[in-house]
Amino acid sequence: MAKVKKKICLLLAGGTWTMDKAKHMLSVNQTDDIDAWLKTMPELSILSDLEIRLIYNEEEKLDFKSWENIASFIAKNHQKYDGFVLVTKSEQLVPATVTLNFLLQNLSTSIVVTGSQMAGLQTKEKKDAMQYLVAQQGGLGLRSNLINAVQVVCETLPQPAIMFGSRLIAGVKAQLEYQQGKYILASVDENYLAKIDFGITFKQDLQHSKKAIQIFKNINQDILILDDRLPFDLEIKCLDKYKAIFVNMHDEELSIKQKKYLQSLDKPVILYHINQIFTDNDFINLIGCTQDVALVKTMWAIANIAPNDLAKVLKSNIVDEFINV
Amino acid sequence: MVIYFYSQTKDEIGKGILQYLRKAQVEVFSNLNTKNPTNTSLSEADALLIYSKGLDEDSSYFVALAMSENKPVLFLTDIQGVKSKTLKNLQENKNFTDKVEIAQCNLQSVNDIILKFLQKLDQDSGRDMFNVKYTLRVSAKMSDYLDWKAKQIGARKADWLRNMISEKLQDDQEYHNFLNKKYKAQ
Repeated sequence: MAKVKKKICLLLAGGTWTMDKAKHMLSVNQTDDIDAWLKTMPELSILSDLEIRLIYNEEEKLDFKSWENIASFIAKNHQKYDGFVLVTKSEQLVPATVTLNFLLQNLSTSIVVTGSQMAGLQTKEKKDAMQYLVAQQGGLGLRSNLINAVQVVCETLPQPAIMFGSRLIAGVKAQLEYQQGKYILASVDENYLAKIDFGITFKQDLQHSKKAIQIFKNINQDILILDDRLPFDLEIKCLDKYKAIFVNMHDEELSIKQKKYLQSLDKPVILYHINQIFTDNDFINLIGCTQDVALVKTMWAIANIAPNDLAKVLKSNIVDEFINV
Repeated sequence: MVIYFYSQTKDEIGKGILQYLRKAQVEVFSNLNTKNPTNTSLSEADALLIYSKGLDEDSSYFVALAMSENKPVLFLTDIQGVKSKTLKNLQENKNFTDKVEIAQCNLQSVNDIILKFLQKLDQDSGRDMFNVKYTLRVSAKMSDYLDWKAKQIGARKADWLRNMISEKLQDDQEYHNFLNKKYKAQ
């Protein structure tokens, strides 16, 4: 039976570097660039009806506010499309996907995030890295990543996911590493939504969440991030703007001095470690998820959850973010 | 020669194609194979062969992937497939015409179509490019000769050797007879 083409919205926010037949680099910095960029990937038209929106160009500095805006766009338009593919810079793949996951909970429209191996402005320093990638893998990876992303977004995906290389991974389980001149994406618990081998093999029984859709507008970035290996010596009066303290834990416990400092702040304190449980009742212990997830979850909870429920919510599995190991 | 073969159905023609490719001693990755090596990827293949009644989800994905990797595609279909709008659009799209060949087949004609496709692939100008690394060990005497010869003709040793092989290849009638029979499954 012939395929009915699905309507996919392709959102561009950096990470658009690709190569044409003559090996010229192309990226999207303004709307006028889109046509030439798309002509390097005519095969996308076989897969779906694409509608392209340039949200941020390569030069734009992206942060959590950017992902709030993208979430807001998707929330407003999700009924118009069968799926959304977001193209962004490789180092932003995980934070972007995790933020979308917490802001757009139980959405019944698939969202896939992908990108090129290279992003940003084309500089002399990047030329060597680019030539290395072209020699190693024949290109910057965007073309195949995008084909795979457009193909998988037409399927039912339980949550926003990242298509990068040969794996489709839920954003909340994804970890990006930079190895031997290129980015590699892996799942922290070896749990993949799909694998690319002979075609695309999806994990069985993927479905959208049956819970009610919950859309949140904001996360709160006013979180002070501390590291337990470093002294806590910021003047308390400088910390007024922060709504919570997030401590990246490495040791088994805080020193007495560190505890006293944190207690004196009169703000929620979140102690994060991937698997270490801390028994101090003055602080909230956040475990069992990646650091990216822990931070975004904290920012989302501070913006949207009443202070009395904060500890309970942070300890709950909100978007299937807990790692199954 | 490595062929990536996707068959929409496991009917007689689909199974026949797989059998033919194996007999023709082509290395084949296929969804009809019960076992494929892990990390089987289209990038390892020389071409994509599809047998499908139309441009369904899987076949359109494979065609798109093949186009992105600049691989030739042979799309085998039936009479309805040839008439379908999606395949007509694909055939008429100037971005794909030089790489995608769409052919109507049946049990009688399928082997001939595949044979022609394999032979065309074999003669592809891309296969004439210097992309196979080869280490050649020669005696000191041969090495001296190569040095002397290169100096005499003002060319690199490798270029002289390549020209010698190319001349031999063109004149070797026995090899040309072999090529004519190549991929004809017995």
